[in-house]
Amino acid sequence: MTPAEYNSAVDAHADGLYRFALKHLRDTDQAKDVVQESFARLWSRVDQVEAAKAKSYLFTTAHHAMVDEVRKGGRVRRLEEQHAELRSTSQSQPDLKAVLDAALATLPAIQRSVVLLRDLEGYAYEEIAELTGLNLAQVKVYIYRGRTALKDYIGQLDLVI
Amino acid sequence: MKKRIDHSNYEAWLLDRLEGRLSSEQERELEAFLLANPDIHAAEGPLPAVGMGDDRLARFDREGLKRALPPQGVIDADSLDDYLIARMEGDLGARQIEELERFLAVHPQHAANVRLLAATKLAAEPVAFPSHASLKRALPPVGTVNVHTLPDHLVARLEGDLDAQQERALAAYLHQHTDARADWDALQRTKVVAEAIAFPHKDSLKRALKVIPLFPRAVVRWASAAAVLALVLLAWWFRSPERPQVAQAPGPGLNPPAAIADQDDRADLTPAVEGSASEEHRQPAPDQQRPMFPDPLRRAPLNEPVREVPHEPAPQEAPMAHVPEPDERIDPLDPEPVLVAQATPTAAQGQQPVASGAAANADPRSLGDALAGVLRERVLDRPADEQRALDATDAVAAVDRGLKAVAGERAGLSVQRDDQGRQRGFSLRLGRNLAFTASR
Repeated sequence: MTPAEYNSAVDAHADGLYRFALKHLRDTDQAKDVVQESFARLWSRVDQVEAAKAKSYLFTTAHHAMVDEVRKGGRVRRLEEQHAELRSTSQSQPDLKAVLDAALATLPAIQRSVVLLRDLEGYAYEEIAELTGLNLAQVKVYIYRGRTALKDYIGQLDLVI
Repeated sequence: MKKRIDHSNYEAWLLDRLEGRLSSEQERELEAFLLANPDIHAAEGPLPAVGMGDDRLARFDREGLKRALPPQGVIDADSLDDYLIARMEGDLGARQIEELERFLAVHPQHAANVRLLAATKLAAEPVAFPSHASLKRALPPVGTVNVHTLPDHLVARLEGDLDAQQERALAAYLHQHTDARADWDALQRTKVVAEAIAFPHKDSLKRALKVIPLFPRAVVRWASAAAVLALVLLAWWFRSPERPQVAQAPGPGLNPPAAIADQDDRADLTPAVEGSASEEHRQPAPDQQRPMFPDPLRRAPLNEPVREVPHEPAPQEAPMAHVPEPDERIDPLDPEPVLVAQATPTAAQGQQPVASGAAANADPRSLGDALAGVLRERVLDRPADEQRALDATDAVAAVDRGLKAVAGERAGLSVQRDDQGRQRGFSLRLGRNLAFTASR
């Protein structure tokens, strides 16, 4: 792709990539770093990546960067900690968006990426498999297990509140 | 020791027998108890134990454990979540959706489950990245360096594409970041040095043009040599400030040499000869009093002696032509003042009125003037009595004419000069196929 096509990709995909990273990491600084890193890698291979593949290249790079970041970051917070945080930060009943964001944080990184790619970007199973390097069956399992885990989280929070 | 066997502890006895911990007496006692109490069916068979019997699941049970995504088969409480998720993901067919809706209608207790799963669908609300400009790139890079644009800035610095502000920012960045400095050092080593490598068979690449000479090579050579020789001689003649001067000794009866010019020429050259021999005519004309050459080349007026000698009164001898005695005060070994002996008037000259000595002295022409006149008239096609001194341009024109006379119109010599008259080059053409050109 040419430098002009690269800059067009910035306009077209930077927001979506930032949303993907922000939902995944729940940290604006880390999300910005992921976006910067993803575009930096795309720029370093600007002569090898086709313009039509720019979006998938960006999301693949961001996915792997975030999975590595989560692995380096250590443990996933326990469910009880998430519930306590939600109760402490909101005197009234927390809205569903906040609950769902909190629920996403409890998912394993790969499951989270798969669910986010499915819901936010509307990718098909095959596309998610290509982006994440998983096979089709693994993608389906991660989506089904991720949904079940989110439902369980929300259900338990309903009981608690 | 175990207690006596009864209805409350007979099972413990049975377990002990199973594990082989009963003695023979206890075995007999247990058998007697079981016979006395036929309502206890423990004796009908061994107690079930792990690993005994068929450990393979029934086919029905095994099939019941299988799962598929999207789900298939009968909808029940266990598979309900998979069906609900499959409906969210659009994985169910129309028939499966109808079955699922019928199941949910029959089992309203699962409505909460349906609501929770529907809530797990994330909404793709718009989120804007705060600084698109920081992601954009250009070559050479725009703006100051940061961790993401460092490679581009380093390459641009190597190529000399950074402006002063970017250079300062990059220098400060490198000063603060050791890793970046290492990258810069490594990048500098990637510069390929231009080595001097010569192609070994360069001559084999050259192509020669076929030259068809118009003249035999010997003629061209001789013409070239003659032209160069003439050029050198003329240049030496007109340039040398110490060139031989022709002086005409003052004295009566001296005429210009007849060999220099014919009668007509002599008439032109000696306009005063035919006139009266008055003092007025002996004096050079005002034009003739002006120096013929510029100062460096200026020679003494013909009325003056070539060399400063003490003035002596002119001899009052008869005005007959004679060869004057050489001045003994002039060093004969000094080659500089070459005195040309004036010939005695010939018979042909005698047809002309013999000029008196005063009239002869009035002729300001010298041998050099005569030669210059001939050159002007015969070679340069200019008036012989032109007052302008011959110079280098005339020399070039003379050579040019000479070359044309020898080798045709294609030959010649030309000198290129700039606006200030300085030589910038020359072109010496010795024929159609031979030329020498040089330029500065």
